[in-house]
Amino acid sequence: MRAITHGRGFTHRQMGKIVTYTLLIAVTVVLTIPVVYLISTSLKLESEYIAENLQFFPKKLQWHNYYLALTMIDFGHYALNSVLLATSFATLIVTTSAMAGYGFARIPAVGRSKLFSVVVALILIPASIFIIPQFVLFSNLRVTNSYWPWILWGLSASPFFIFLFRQFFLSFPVELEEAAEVDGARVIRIFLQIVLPNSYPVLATSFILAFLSVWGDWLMPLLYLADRNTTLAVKLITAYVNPQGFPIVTPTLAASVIYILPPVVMFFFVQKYIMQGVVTSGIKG
Amino acid sequence: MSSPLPNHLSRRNLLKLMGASLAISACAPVGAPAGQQPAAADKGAASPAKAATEVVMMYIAGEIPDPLIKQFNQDYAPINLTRIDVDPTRFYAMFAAGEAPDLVRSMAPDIPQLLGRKMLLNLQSYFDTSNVLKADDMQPVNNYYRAGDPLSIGQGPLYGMVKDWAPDAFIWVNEAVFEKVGVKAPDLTKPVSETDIKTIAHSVTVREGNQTKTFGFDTAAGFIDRFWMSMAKAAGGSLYTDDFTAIKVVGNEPVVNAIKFYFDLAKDGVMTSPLNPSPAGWFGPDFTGGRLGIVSTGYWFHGFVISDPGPEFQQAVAAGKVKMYPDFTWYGKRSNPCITAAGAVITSSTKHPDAAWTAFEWFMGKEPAQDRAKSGWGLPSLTSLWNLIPKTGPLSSSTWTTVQGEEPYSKETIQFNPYLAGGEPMVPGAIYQTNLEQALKGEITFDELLSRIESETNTAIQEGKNQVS
Amino acid sequence: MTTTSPDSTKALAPAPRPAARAWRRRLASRRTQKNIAFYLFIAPWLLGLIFLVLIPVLGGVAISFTNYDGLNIGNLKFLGLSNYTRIFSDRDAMWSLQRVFVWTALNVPLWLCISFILAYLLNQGIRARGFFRTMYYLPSVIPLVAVAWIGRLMLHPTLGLVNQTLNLFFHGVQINWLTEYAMISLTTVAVWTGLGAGMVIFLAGLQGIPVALEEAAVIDGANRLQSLRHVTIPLMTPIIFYQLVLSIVAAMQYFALPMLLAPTAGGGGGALGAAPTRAVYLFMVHSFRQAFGFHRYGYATALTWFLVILILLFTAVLFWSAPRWVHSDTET
Repeated sequence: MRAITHGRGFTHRQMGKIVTYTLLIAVTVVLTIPVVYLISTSLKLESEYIAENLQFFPKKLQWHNYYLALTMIDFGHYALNSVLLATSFATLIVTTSAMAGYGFARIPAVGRSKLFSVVVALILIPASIFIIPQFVLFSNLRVTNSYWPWILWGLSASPFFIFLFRQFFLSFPVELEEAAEVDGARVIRIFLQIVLPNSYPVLATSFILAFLSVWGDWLMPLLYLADRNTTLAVKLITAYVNPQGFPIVTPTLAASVIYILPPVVMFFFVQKYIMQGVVTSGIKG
Repeated sequence: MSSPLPNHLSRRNLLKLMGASLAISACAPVGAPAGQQPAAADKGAASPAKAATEVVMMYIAGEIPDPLIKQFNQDYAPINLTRIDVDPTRFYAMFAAGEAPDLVRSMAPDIPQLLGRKMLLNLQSYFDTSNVLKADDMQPVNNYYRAGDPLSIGQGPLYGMVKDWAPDAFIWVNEAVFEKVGVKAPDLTKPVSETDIKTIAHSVTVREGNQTKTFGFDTAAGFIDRFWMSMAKAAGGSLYTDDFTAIKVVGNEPVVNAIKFYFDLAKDGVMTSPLNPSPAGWFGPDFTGGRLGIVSTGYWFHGFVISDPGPEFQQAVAAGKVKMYPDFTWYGKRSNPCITAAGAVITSSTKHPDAAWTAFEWFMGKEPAQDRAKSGWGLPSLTSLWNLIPKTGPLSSSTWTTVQGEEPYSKETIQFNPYLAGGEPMVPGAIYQTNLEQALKGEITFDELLSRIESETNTAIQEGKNQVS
Repeated sequence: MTTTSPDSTKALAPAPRPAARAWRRRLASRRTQKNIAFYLFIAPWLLGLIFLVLIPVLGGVAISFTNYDGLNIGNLKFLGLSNYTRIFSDRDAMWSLQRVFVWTALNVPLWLCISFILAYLLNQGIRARGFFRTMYYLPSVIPLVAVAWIGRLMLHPTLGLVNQTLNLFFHGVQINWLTEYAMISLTTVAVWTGLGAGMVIFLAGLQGIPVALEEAAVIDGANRLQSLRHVTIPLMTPIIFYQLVLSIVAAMQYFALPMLLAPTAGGGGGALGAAPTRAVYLFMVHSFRQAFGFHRYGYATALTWFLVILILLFTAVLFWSAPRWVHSDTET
């Protein structure tokens, strides 16, 4: 690939390559084993799981665990809860963050730069400080045991996403918008008709990041939601139990495998943008 | 801020909202249909118009299975019973938000504090007129739910009831484990002393290096502080001062000995601890899997033992090698009170006390109670249901004999501390658990462990007192 | 997502009629219009900031001076600073503070180094780079709850893959990964799930470094390591700085995985009152247990403020040190 592949450096370089590839493959194996073992154990008998001696793969594939995963608890119900909550939250937060991001990137106004430094500061301020006070607030507003906290969070945008959108919109060619502006179009129309349709990478990436943050969250549903309302993440910790409340492991693992699938699939959709550093464009600028 | 919002944004409402907003955005160019779309979405949510009386019950799923709830909702319409998972944090939050569940699972240690905070509904007038739950049918254990005030548990009106119960410290022995280890299994039909039980537990323990391969003894770590209390009481002492404003540990001999009893077992690797964790995560599978010789736990374990799927273990059960014996003596005395008394209460903030009572009466006295009695997971809290207890088969016949023999020693109730929340474990037990690893490793002395339990529990009591007064 | 569809967006913003436009021009200057538009665009965020951040946080400060437990509004007691002084006499708080320092000191450098090395290796004109990149990133996609199950599956003292594999070679070995060695285990699991995200950011940065610069160094006679040290790393310092700040802020507040990996979690446990094993009893774990396990909202808020102030101090020190070692953009 590079010009310098002659002379002394040649074998050296080849050696280097061999070492590099060995290392890369070794790391791949180490990183993958846990996931393979999860899948393998999800197909074991409970007694094989409890066995004292190492048995990496099941003797016979126990697909029944997957049946149990779906039927021991109302899996579909909780999965749907997760999907709905994550989708509505992501839709709202992407919309509001994109709006604010556009404002900060393209609409000059009094106080804009001061407010933007607030956004940046909020990214750095430890989020733990909000959790307990918000819990007290929502309890006293009597919106616990409902999806209102997520709607309200979604409506109030995320500093990180605002930052992301701002950076993206800054890199967006200004000519199109100017042309439209000369044409007399209002800001909102430019935003909706010209800017957003051309922002697929950042929209998709932030949507999926927001979706996954809810899909994977465990603390907030635990704090705010009750049994039927709650999400799959919460159920995965505690729901697969015998009547005494003690865990039955292999169906839980089967459920975990199903639960991991949507994030993996979604990741492949936006992989390109994540790898290109769309998410990190902020720090490169 | 809350006024424009419907109080519950449930999934159904969320769907409705989303449907409506999608419909609006999709239909806006045409204008007119936008109004129809949300209306159509409304239809799906029209059912509540039937004005069902909603009763919410915070309970463990396994203890009130869905089919039973369905049956109730058919038989007792328009009452609509729903179950939510037990979670103390959420219970408090819901109570604070004025939407506490109507019925809540409770245990004996919860009652004094809940009463002190005025969170319970006095049910005496309901009991007086009930022809399902009658006063003369009540087992003594229900006294845990009877109180004039938080400090006089046992006398006064009823605030709830036990769902089922048992003395909580039977000695369960798996003789197959003794055989495997090559030790003669003990006959404990006549209760032995605490020293003897320790010796027997040691004899069956197998250690390799500093790891335990076969455990000699185990019990529910979450109940450890309740055991201290019942042991202290049996020895004529008490864990707390008379007015419950302080804990007495340091220099309080019966309590120190109770704590030391379990601490020594953990230290010697006879019992599970943070240094020798239970192989399966808790003592049930350890016992049935042949890695644990003796368990100190309640009659409920009978239900677990007979439903264990392991063929080897079931052979041992069939051969009569799994035994339930009376509790060991403590200070030479027999005492085996119920320290759990799991049951239910109705919250003082309930909006439908009558409907909640209907569900309560059904759960405590009708089909669910009969199912529980037959299952062998506990002794019915109504004497009239005792004929349903399983009494045949190699295990069930002997457990029944032991239960009858132990009954006279299990009639007393324990006064729990009204300034501390219930829990598994409660505050003193939690402090013990937190510091146990250090103490076992010798990083702190046993005396230091005791003084930590004392000082930190006293802080918590003071806090609890400040909150109610 | 409806807003991305061109059809619906047209519908949402009908073109203003000419008369209206003229009227608008007359009334408001262009500048005022821009101001209004800006504040309309950021209004959701601004309102959220006021109602969901500022008001609750100020309320939280108030709560931290009381014995609020969620129910005792009726007889709330003002405690002055005692919730704050209590932190220093609370043995568990001090222990958890020490633990979170150990955790941060262990986790942040390991994570930074490993993800940087992986990114660097992947940036060496590797064949199948896309494959490796994807494989390294995948653990980052797995949600925490599933990570906890995987962690338990690997590290369980008797049933875990790690100990069972060790037993093939050393019979009778039982290492208590989830209790005694929980700190090492937690770090391993956290690095496993985190390095993909770190790697991607470094990789994006590395790709921004002109190949010519590194090659020039090599032509000048520098070997690979020297060029890494004198060219690549200095150019990467802005990104390293950014990653360092964010990962320290995150590590200091870490709580979820220790709670999920706690022996009492899962099955009947997993509730917020559950205590993780002592080795990974981190500060926020202590704070959340105080709040949601024991209903000491006042004390828990005080604990959180204490930690946040510490974090802000660290951040300030890092920013103060930045000019000394972070390569500024203008020099490239």
